[in-house]
Amino acid sequence: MSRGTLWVGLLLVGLNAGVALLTLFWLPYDPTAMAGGRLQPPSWAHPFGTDRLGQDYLTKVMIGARIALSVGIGAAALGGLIGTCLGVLAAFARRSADDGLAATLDILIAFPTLLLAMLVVAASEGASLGTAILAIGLAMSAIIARLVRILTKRVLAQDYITAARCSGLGWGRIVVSHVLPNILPTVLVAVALQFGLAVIAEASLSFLGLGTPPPNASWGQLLQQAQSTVFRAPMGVIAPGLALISLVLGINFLADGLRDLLDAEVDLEEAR
Amino acid sequence: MARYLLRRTIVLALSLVVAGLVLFVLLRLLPGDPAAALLSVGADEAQIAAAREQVGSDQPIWVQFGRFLSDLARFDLGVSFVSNQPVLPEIMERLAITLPLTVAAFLLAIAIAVPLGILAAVRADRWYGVAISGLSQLGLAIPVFWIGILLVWLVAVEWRLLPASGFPMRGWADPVAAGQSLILPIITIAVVMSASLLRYVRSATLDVLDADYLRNARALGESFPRALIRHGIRNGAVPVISILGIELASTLLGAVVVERVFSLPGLGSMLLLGIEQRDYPSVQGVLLITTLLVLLIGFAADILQRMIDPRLRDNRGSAR
Amino acid sequence: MKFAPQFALAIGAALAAFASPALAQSDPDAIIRIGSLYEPQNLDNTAGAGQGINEAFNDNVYEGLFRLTDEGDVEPVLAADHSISEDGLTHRFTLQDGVSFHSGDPLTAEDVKYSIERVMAEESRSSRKSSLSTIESVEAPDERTVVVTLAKKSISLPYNLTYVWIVNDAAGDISASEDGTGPYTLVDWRRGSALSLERFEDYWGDAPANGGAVFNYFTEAAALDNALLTNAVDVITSVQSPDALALFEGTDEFTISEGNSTTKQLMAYNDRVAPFDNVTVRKALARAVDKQKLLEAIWDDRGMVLGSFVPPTDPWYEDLTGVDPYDPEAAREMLAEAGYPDGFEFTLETPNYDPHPITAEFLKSELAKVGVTVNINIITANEWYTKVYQAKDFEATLQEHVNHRDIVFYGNPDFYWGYDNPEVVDLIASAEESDTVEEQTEKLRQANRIIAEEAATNWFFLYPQIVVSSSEISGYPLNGLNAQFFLRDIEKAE
Repeated sequence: MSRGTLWVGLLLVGLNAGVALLTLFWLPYDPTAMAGGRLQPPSWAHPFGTDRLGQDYLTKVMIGARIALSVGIGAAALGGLIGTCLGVLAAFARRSADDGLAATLDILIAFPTLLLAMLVVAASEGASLGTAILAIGLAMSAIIARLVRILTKRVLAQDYITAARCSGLGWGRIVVSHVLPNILPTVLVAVALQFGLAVIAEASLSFLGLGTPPPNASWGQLLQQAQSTVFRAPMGVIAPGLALISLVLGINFLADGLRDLLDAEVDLEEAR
Repeated sequence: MARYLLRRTIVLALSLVVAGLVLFVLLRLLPGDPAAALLSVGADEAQIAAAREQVGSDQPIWVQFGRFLSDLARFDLGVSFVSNQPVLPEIMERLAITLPLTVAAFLLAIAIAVPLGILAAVRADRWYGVAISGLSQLGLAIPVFWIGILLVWLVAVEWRLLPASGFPMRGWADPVAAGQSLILPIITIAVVMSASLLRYVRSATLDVLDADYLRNARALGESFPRALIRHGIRNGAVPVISILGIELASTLLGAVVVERVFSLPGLGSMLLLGIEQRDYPSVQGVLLITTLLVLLIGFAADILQRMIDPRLRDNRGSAR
Repeated sequence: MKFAPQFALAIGAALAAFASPALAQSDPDAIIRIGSLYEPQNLDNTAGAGQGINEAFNDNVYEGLFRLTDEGDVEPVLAADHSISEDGLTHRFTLQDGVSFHSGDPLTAEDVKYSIERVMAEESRSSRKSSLSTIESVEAPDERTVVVTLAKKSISLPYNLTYVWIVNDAAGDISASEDGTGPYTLVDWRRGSALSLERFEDYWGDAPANGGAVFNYFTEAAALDNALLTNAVDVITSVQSPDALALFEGTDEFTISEGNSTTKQLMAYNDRVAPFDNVTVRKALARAVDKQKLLEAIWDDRGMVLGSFVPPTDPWYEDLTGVDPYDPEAAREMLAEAGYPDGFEFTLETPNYDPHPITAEFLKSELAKVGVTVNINIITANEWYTKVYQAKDFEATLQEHVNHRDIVFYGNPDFYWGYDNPEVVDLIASAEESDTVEEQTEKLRQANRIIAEEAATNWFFLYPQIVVSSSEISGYPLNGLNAQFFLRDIEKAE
C-alpha cells in the first residue's frame, strides 16, 4: 500500500515537473498572443479553451505548473534551511534564550502568512515570484524550527550524547556527527509536507492579488480571474484547480511514502 | 497545576506585548504613506500636509509608538485613519461574523472527522476504510477558495438554493438570512478542515489500537467497542486536542480567503482593506485581536490537555 | 450689463431621459436594493470618503445649490435664483423657500456659507477644493441670500457648486452621521457591508417614487453579479466585465442599459523624463498601440476608443482618434527619427486591480513589435498614490481617470504627469474667465486639440457605463456622472 502511494506520488509530481520543464523550451502558444476568440470552449486547437483575452488556456495552466513548483522548491529550501539552523541553535542555547525563542516561534506561527507576504511584497517594491517564495519560506521556517528544536533536544537527551559532551566534544561536532544524521529523515518528510502547503499558500496569495504578476500568472491568479466567468467557461476554474490538486496530492503521497521508507517518525503535532 | 497556570498566564501576557511591538514595527516598515488613503487625484500640497498631520505620519516613529502604547493600556485600539471611527467597535461588529463562521465550521469538521477518522482506523483493512483515507488525502490537496468558487457557482447561481454572497443588512437581527448566508462558507471551510482533522484522528486511533492497555483490557474480557470507549478515547484525545487548537487558530486566520470569495464583511476583509489603505489602527487592531484569540486557544488547549492526561500534570514534559 | 436669472426651475425634469418604460403599477413604498463595489470610507465628502459617498449621498441625502444631471447639464436645486454682477465677480444666490434639514432645522443662508467654507477649509480633503479657490468670500446678508465674491471670473462656478453639499451648520462632525436636505435620510451604515436610506417625509420637493434604498457593498465583481442573479439586489451600479453580461442576456428577467461614462483608461508618461519628454517618441507610442483591439479584449464591443482626454459628455469633446491612428510601421520610423532605432526599455507602474494588469500585458506585446521593451511593475493603489502621484517617481503608469470635465489637469504643470505647455496652461486658465459658454468651449476645444497633437498621454478608451437591473425596476440614471446614482425616480413594480 505504501509502495503504491509512493509510486502514485512520483507519477503525479513527475507529470507536473515534466510539464514545468517543457515550458522552458516549448509552449503551445505565445502566452501573450491573442490566439483565439474570448472564452472559447475546449477544442482541438485549444484543449482547455481560451481565457477572456482570447489567450490559450492550456499554455497558461502549463506555465502555472512551473510557477507552483518554483515556489514550492524555493520556499521549502529556504524554510528548511533557516528553520533547521534556528531550531538547532535554540536547542543548544541557554534555557532563557531557548524559552524566548520558543515563544517567538509560537507568535510567528500565529502571525498570518498573508501579512508577512504583504510586508515582503511592499518592502521589495512590487509582487514577484521571489517575494512569494520569501514570504512563504519565512512562514515555513518558524514551523520547521519548532520541529527541529524538539527533535534536537530529544537527541541531546540521549545518554551517549551526554557522554560525548562530558568527554569535551565541541557542539559543532555533535551537531554534524550526531544530531543532523538523526533528525534528517524526519525533517525531510516535514519539509515535503510543507512543500504541498506552500503551493496552496501561493495560490491563496495570488487569489488575493498578492502573488506573481502576469504574464507568468500562477494558478491562484488564473482562478481569481476565471471566478467571474465560471458559468460561461467552467474550464477556467476546473483546469487550474485540478492541476493544483494533482501536484499537491502527488507531493503528499510522496511525503507519506518517504516517511514509511525512511521510517521517520513525523509526529502528528510536530509536522504541522 | 496552579503553578503551571500562573507560569502559562505570564507567558501569554508577555507574548501579547511582544506581538504588539512586532506588529507596530513591521507595519511602519511598509513603504507608502497612510495619508495617501485619505486623498484623491487632484489633492494639493497643503491637503497632503493636513492629511499627514491628521494620521500622525509626520511625527517621528517613537512618538507614534508612545501614543500607541498609552492608548493600548486604556484598551483603546485607536481611531481609523480612513473612517474616523474607533476601531474596536468595528472589530466587534465584524467578529460577530468571523467567529460564528469559524466555530461552526470547526464543529462541523469535528462532527465529520471524528467518526469517520475512527472508522477509517478501526476498519483500515476494509474498502471503505481505505476510501475514507483516500478522500481525506484529496481534501488536504484542495485550496479552500476553489471549493468556495464551485459551491457559489453550483449551489447558489445554477441551482439557486442559497445566497451566493454577502451578509444581511440587519445582521443577526435577521437570524434566518444571516444563518443562510453563512451556510456555504461554513461548508467550504469544513470540507478542507475535516480532511486534515480526519488524518489526525485516524492516526491517533491507530496508535491507541496498538497500545498495550487496550490489549490488556480486551484480554481481561472487555468487548472491543467498550474497551475503545473506556480507554481509547481518553488516551487518543490528548494529541488530538492540541491539533484541534492549532487547526482552530489557522481557520480563524484562513477565513480571510473564504470571506473574500463570499463577500462577507468579517475581520478578514477589514484586514485586507486596512493593509491596502495603510490604515494602521485598523490593521493593528485586527491583528492584535486575532493574535490574542490564537494565543488564548493555545492556552486553553494546553490546559485541557493537562486535565485529561495525568502524566502531564506532574512533570513539565521534557520535550516541550 | 446684468444677467437675467439664468434658468427656470427644472426639478425632476430629467425623468424624460431615463431609460425604461413606465410601469403599470409601482409600489410607492418599495425599498430599492442596490449592489455596488464602492463602499464609502466615511460619510464626509471632505474627509477623503471616496467615490462611494457620491453614489450614495449626492442628491439623495445632501443637495447642492446646483446639481449635475445625468446628462451632464447643470440645473438649480436649492438656488431658486442666481444673478451675476457686471464685472462677473459677484454672484448672488436666492434660496428655495420652505426647505428644512433632516434634523428639522430650517435651511438658511448661514448654512450655505458654512457648507461652502467647509469645502474650502484648510483641513478639507475634497478633490474639488482647488476648483473653488477663486472664491474670495461668502456672505449671508439675509436669511435667504448668499453672496459669493470671486477673485477672478469663473464661468464654472455653478458647475463647481454641484460638488458642494449643503450641510446644517449645527451638524458638527458628519463622518458617521448626516444632516442634509435631500429626499432621503440615513438609517444605518454597517461598515464593510451595507448602508440604508429611507424616505424623508418632510422633504420640500416632490416625494420620491420609492420608500428608500439599501446599498449593498461587495469587494469582488463576481459576487456583485451573483447577488443580482440570485435576487439579493435589484440593480448593480456598474458591470466590470462584458463576460458577466452573458448571465443577464436573453431573458426578460433583467434589463441591461449602456450609458456614457467619464472613466478613461490611459498610459500616462512622466513627460519630464527622457525619452518621454520627446513629442515624437510619445506620438510613436500612440501609433504603436491597437486601441480598438485592446478595447475589444477588455470590453468586447462596448465602450469607445479615445483620441484624447475629453469624453463626449464634456461640451468641448471632439473626435481626435485620427491624430495618431494605429500604424506600427509609422511608429517604428518615428522612433528611429527620434533617435531610438533599436527602441528602448521602460518600467510601467501598473495598479494591481482590473483592468490594468491585462492592459499592461497587452501593451507589452504591442510595444515589443516596435522594439520597445516594457517592464511591468505591479503596485497597489496606495503605492501608486505615494510613488507616482506624490513623489512623481516613475517613467510611465497605467491609470483610469474618472472625473467629469478634468481636462484642467493638463493646465497644471505640477500634475503627476508633468505635461508643461504654456499655451495650454494659458488656454485653460483663460477659458475659466470666459464671459460665455461658447467662448469657454472654444478655448478648451483648442487646448484639447493641442494635447492630442502632442500626444501628452497615451489615451486608450472610455469605459462603457453598464447598469443591469431586475426588469421590475426602472427610472435609474444611466450615465452615472461622477459616480452619482439618483434614487428619487426609481420605481419598483408591485
